[in-house]
Amino acid sequence: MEILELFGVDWKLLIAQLVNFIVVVLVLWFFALKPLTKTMQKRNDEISKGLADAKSAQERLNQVERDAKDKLNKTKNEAMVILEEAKKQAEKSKQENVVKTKEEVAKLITKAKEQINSEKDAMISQAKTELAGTISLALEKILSSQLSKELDKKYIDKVLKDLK
Amino acid sequence: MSLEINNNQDILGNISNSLQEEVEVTGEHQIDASQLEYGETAYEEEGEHEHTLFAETLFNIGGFPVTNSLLTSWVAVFLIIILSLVIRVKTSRVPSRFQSFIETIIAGAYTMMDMVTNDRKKSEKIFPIIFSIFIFILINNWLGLFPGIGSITYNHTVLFRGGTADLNTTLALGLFGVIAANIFGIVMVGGWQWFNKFVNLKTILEIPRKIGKEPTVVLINPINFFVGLVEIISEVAKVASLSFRLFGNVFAGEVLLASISAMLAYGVPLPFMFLEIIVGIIQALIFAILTLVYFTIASTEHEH
Repeated sequence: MEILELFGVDWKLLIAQLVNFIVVVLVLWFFALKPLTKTMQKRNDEISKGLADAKSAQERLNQVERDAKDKLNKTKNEAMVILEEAKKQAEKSKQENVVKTKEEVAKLITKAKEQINSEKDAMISQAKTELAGTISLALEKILSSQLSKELDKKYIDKVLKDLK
Repeated sequence: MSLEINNNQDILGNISNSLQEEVEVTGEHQIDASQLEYGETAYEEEGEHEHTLFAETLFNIGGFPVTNSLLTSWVAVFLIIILSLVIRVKTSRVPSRFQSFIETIIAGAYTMMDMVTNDRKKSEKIFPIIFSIFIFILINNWLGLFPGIGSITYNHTVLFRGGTADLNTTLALGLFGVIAANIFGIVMVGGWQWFNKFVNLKTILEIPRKIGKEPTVVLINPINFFVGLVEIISEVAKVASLSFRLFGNVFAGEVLLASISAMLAYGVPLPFMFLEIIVGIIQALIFAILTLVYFTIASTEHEH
């Protein structure tokens, strides 16, 4: 191997360089490349997971928003119905009250009228009797001697008849 | 400076002698001849250092030669360890700007690898090796380009020389790449499949079974068998092409920069510097992608 000697090839040096290189491989691999590639892989996984999570979260958010809207609409409709019903009921009860009051008022009026009438009748009859007594007393006093009993009675009846 | 040129010639002549001995021998005996040939330039470029094909030994530790390229590689390894630790500490789920930058590079590398392998799982398995090859070569390429790095000397030799400007480094990487690719192939497609890619016993065993239906298998299958044998050579060629391509490009770049700087040190080398920075990336990329292609080929089931 003449040519190798010309280039100064020495097995000791060659092995030394081989050892150098193997040291480089081991050091680079275990201290730099392995942890670095691991970190890179981990980060890539995390990023893709994060993106997927964000997507699903967005979807869930949309779903929740839709649900909330639906519920709100439903509640609104229900409230409207309830309100409408309440209004109707109020109207109804109002009218009923009015009718009832009117009836009561009418009853009261008739009752009052009846009482007034009966009181009036009683007053009249009382007045009549009182008046008759008074008149007869007066007439008796005035005409006690002048008129006969018979005539007197006749006269009184006539007066009473006229009064009636 | 002229010593090394003589060294080369000498090594060609005296293969058996070791490097150290030769420095002494040339230093003592052949200095006259060298000065005859290269003497003039040698004195003119007093500060410049000659570029040799091989990395120069700085010192020995118990018989182990520490070359300037090895030293630079150690610096590169040190830098990569620091970088890795910084990444380790800074890694968090929420990325900083620094982490984003690193992550962009890694994600880009994955995308690029997927284009070759067409299979994310396979890419993930090979990724650490391919990425390390890229980073290691890139840092080594660029360290050699560092401005002024060639002017730091130690015992009259350059202290730092690009790690990949030494065939030892590129050959080690090429061998590692091709061997690892074959091991990966064995793991992915199974030992028998892998073995048949090179020594195609399957096609030979097929002949008696198929000969009744298609008589042509007698001709075709032996050819397939020899194609398999050629694959063995091609594996060696892969190592050679990978290592020499990288070494050649980086070394040529350094020589080019040195030559341009020697001509005119101000301004002119700048575009070449940018060129070499780009070459540094491109060569690292080519080495990494070719290794990846070898991995992919080795791990693909052979259809016949």
